[in-house]
Amino acid sequence: METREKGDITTLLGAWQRGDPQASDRLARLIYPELRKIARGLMSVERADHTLQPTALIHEAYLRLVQQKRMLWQDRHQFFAISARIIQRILVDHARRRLACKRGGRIERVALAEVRDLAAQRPDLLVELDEALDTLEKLDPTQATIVRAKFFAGLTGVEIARATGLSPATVKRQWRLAKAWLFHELNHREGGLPDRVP
Amino acid sequence: MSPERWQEVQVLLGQALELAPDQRLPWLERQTARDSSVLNQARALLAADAQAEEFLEIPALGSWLDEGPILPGDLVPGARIGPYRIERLLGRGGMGRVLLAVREDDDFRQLVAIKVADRAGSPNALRRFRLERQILSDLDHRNIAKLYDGGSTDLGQPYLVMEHIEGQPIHTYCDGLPVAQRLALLRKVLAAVAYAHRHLVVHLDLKPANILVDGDGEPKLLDFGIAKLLGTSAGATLTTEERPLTPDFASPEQLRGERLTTSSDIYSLGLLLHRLLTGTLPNRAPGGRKVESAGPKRLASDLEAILGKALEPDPGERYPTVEGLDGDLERHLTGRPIFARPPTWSYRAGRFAHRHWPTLTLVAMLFLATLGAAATVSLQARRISAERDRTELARAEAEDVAAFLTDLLGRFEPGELPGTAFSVQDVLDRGTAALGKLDDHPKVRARLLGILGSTYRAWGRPEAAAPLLEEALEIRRRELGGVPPELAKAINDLGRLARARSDFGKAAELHREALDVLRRHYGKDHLAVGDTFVWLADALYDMAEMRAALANYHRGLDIRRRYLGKDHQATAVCLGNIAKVSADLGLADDALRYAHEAVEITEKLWPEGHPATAASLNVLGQSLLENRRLKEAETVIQRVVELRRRFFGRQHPRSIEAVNNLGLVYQQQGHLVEAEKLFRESRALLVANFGADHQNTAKATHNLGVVLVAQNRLREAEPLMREVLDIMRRSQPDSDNVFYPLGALAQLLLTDDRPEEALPYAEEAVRRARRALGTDHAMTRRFGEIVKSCRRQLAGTVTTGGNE
Repeated sequence: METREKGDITTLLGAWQRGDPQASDRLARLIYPELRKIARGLMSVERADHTLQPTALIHEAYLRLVQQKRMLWQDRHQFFAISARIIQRILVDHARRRLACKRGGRIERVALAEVRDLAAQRPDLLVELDEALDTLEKLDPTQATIVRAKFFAGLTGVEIARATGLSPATVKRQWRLAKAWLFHELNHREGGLPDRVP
Repeated sequence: MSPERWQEVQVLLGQALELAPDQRLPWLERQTARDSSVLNQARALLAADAQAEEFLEIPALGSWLDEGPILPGDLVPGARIGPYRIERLLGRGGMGRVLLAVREDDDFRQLVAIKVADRAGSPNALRRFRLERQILSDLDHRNIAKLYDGGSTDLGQPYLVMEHIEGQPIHTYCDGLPVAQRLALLRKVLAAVAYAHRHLVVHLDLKPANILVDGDGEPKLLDFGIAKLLGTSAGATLTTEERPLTPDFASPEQLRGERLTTSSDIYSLGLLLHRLLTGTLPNRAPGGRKVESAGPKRLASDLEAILGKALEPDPGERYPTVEGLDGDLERHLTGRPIFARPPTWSYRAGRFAHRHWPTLTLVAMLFLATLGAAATVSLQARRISAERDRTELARAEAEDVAAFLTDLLGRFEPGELPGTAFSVQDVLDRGTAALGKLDDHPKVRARLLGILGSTYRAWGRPEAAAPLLEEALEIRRRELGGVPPELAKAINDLGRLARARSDFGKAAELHREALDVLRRHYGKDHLAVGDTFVWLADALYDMAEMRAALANYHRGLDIRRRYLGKDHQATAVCLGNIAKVSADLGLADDALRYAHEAVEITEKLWPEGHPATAASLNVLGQSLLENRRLKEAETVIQRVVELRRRFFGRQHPRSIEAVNNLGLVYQQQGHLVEAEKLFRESRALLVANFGADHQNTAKATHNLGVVLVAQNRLREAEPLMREVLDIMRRSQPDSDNVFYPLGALAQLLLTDDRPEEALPYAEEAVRRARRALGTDHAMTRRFGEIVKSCRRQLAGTVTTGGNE
C-alpha cells in the first residue's frame, strides 16, 4: 500500500493544506511507517543513554520523504508543521491504546501541577489535550500550531519561529499564553478550581 | 469562549505577565474598566500560568519512543496472532517483545508466551528467528522452556510460541535459601545448559531474568533468543555487533565482539553462580581481565576457586565444559577435592590435613610429631596455572611452570604415593632447582617458593623449606608491597615452618601477625582468619598453652562451620583438634563428643575410607584410650593402622603414628610384649626417617622407655629416658611440654628407689604441668603424687636412718 500511495504524497500535501479532511488520514498512513522505522532506528542507536532528540526524527523523516521520493517541497518548515500534526495523531492514538491496555489496572493520577512528563505520567490527559487543542485551534490557530510543534513534535522555539515566520519572542509569548489556557482547560476538566471567582 | 473574548483576555494576561510576579494580580484587580467576566478569566489564567511552568515542557515524542510506539496493526491486548489471542505484554527484549497469549480451543485454554520480533523486514532477525525456532524444536529438556509453534504476523514479524512459565527469576527465588539448595538449583540449570551444549546450542544470554523457577521448584531456561547453532554456517556468521546481549552477564569475549563458544556460557554461569551466592556481581575491570569477588559475603575457598575458574578472562582457562563446572560443585558439596585448582599435592594434602596429637597418658606418653602433611591450605593452594600474574610472563613460560608443577606435584595423590620419601625429595629438589629460571617474575616465584617450601616442610625437611619460605615472604613484603591475603599466607607458611622446626613461640608470633594482617583486610570474619586461628592454636598447643589453644580452635571451628558447613573435612579436622585438647585438659566427655562428631563427618563424606577418616578415627581412638575404653580403642586404632597403611604405606610417619598408638592400647591392656614390639618397630622407622636425635624419634623412644619401665626393665629404660629428656630440652628449651619426659624419668627413678634423684625432675614436672594444664589436671596431680612419694621416701629414709 505504501508504494501505491508514494506518488500521491505531493498531491496529498496540497490537499491537506487546502483543508481536505481525507488528506490528513492518507498522509498519516503514508508517513506512519516511515516515522516508525526511523524512530526505532534512532531508538536502537541511542538506546544506551535514552536521550533521543525528537527533532532528529523529523529531520530524518523529512530527508527520507523528500529526497528518497524526490519531492520538491519549497518549504521544509512546512513539513515540520505537517509532521507535528501527524505525530500528534500517532501519539494520541498510542495513548488511547495504552489506556485500553491498562483498562482494569489503575492509572496513578498525578495532580496536573505535579506532572512533568505528561505523556509518560498521564497518558489519559493526552487524549484530553488533543480535544482541548481542537478548541484552541478555533480560538487561536497559531497558538495551536506552536503547541503541536513544540509538545508533540519536540521542535525548539527557534525552529518553530522559522517554520511559522514569527519572531522567536512571539513564539515564546504565545507558547506561554497557550500553556496557561490549556492548563486551565485541563485542570477544569480534571475537576480543578472553577474558572470563575464567585 | 469566542476568539474575540480570548483575544481580549490574552491581551490583559500578556500585560500582567510583563510585570513582576507579585504585582500581577494587584494590577489586574485595578483594571475595573474591563468586563468582569474577562477579568475573571484573566485572573484564572494568571493562576494557571503560575502552575504551568513545567506543563508540556517535555515533548510527548520522547516517552513514546522510549516505551515503544504502538501503531496500527500493533500487537495490543485483544489482537490476534494466528490462533492465539494476546492477553498482555510480558516483557521486552533486545529483538522484540514477549506477549502472554491464550489459545482457546473447544476443550481447553492454554496460556503461552509468544515472542515477536520488532523488525519484520530485517533479514538478520528473520534468520535469527528461524534459527531459534529450529534450535528450540530440537531441544527437549525439562529445564528448558518448550517451543510449541511459530510463524509470522500480518506485518511479517516472525514469532515463536513457547511454553509459558509462571515462576520467579532464579535470583529472587534463591533469596533466603541455604547455600546447598541454591547450588542444587544451579546444578539443574547447568544440566540444562550442558544438554543444550551437547546439541550444539549455546545460549549466550544466560542471566537470572532468563531462568525462572516454577511452582514445583524446577528452574526453566527461557529465551534462546540469541543462541547460535554451533557448527552451522548460519550460526558462524553471527557477529556481536548485531547480537543484543545483557552486558552484566556477558563474557569478556562477548563484550569484545569476538568469536563465541560454549565457554562464553560457562562464564555467564560463573557470573550467575556469583550472583546467587553473594547477591552481587563481581567487580569487573574494564576489558574484563580481572574478576574480583566483591560480595558482602565471603565464600568458601572452594567456591572462590570454582568461580575463579569459571570466570577466567581467557576462555581457554575456564572449565572446558559445563560438566566440569558441575563436577566441581558436586565435589565441593560432598567435600571432595575440587579440580578448580590444579591437582597440586599441597592442595590435596590440605584436604586430608589433620593434626596428630600426642597421646597423653600417665603411664605411656606418646609423642608423635605432627609431621603432617600439614599443607592444609585452602588459601595457599590458590590456583597456579590460573595464575593471575600470568600476563607478566610470556604465556608459554607460564604454561611451562604450570605443567611443571602439575607434573611435579600431581604425583602425590593418595594411592599413587611413591613407596619411599626419597623420590619425593628428589622431585622437590628438582623443582627448587628449576625455580632459578623464574627470577624475573616475583609473583610467580613467590607462589612457587611457597608451594615448594610448604611441601618440604610437610615432608619433614624444614631446613630446605626455610630459605624458600623466607624468600617468599621477603618478596611479598618488599616487591609486591604486601597484598594482604598473599602476605598473610606467606607469613602463615613461615609460621607453620617455625612450628615444624619446633620454634613454637615464633610460630605463634607469626600466626598472630598473619591474623592482624587478615583482620585488617577482611575484618574478623573470613575463612583465612579461621585457618589462621587453627594454626595459631596448633602452635599454642605445642607450647603447652592448652587453654589458649582450645579457645583458638573454637574460634577456627566457628568460622569453618559457617563458611564450609558442618559436613566439611576442615571442620572435622578442627573438631578432632578440639577433641584432643579437651582430652589433654581432662575434659573427657567433651573429647569423646567432639571426636565422635569428627568421625561421623568423615565417615559420611568418605564411606569407603579416606586419610581424613583415619585422622578423625585416630583422635577418637586416643580419646577412647584415655577414657580407658580399651576394647573400643583397639578396634578404632586398628582401623586407623589399616587405613593409613593403605593410603600412605607402612613407612609413612602417619602409619608409624598409628602403629605407635596401637602399641599404647596393648600396653594399657597389659600386653606388654606386643606393645614393646610395636614401639620398637615405630622407633626404627622413625630413626630411618628423621635420625636418632629428632624429637619425633624421641617420642617413640619415650614410649619404648615407658613400656620397659612397666616391665621393670629399668636399666634398659633409663638411658632411653635420659636421651628423650635431652633431646626435648635441646629442641624445645622453653616448652613446658618437657613435663612428659620429666615425669616419666621421675617415675622411673622413684621406681628404682632413687627418690633423691627423682625429686627435682618430679618437681619440675609439676611446675610445668601446672602451668600448661592447670593445677587440677590429673597429670599435674599425678606428678604431685610422685613428688610426695619422693619426699615421703626421703623423709622415711631420714627418719629410719635416725632411728637406726
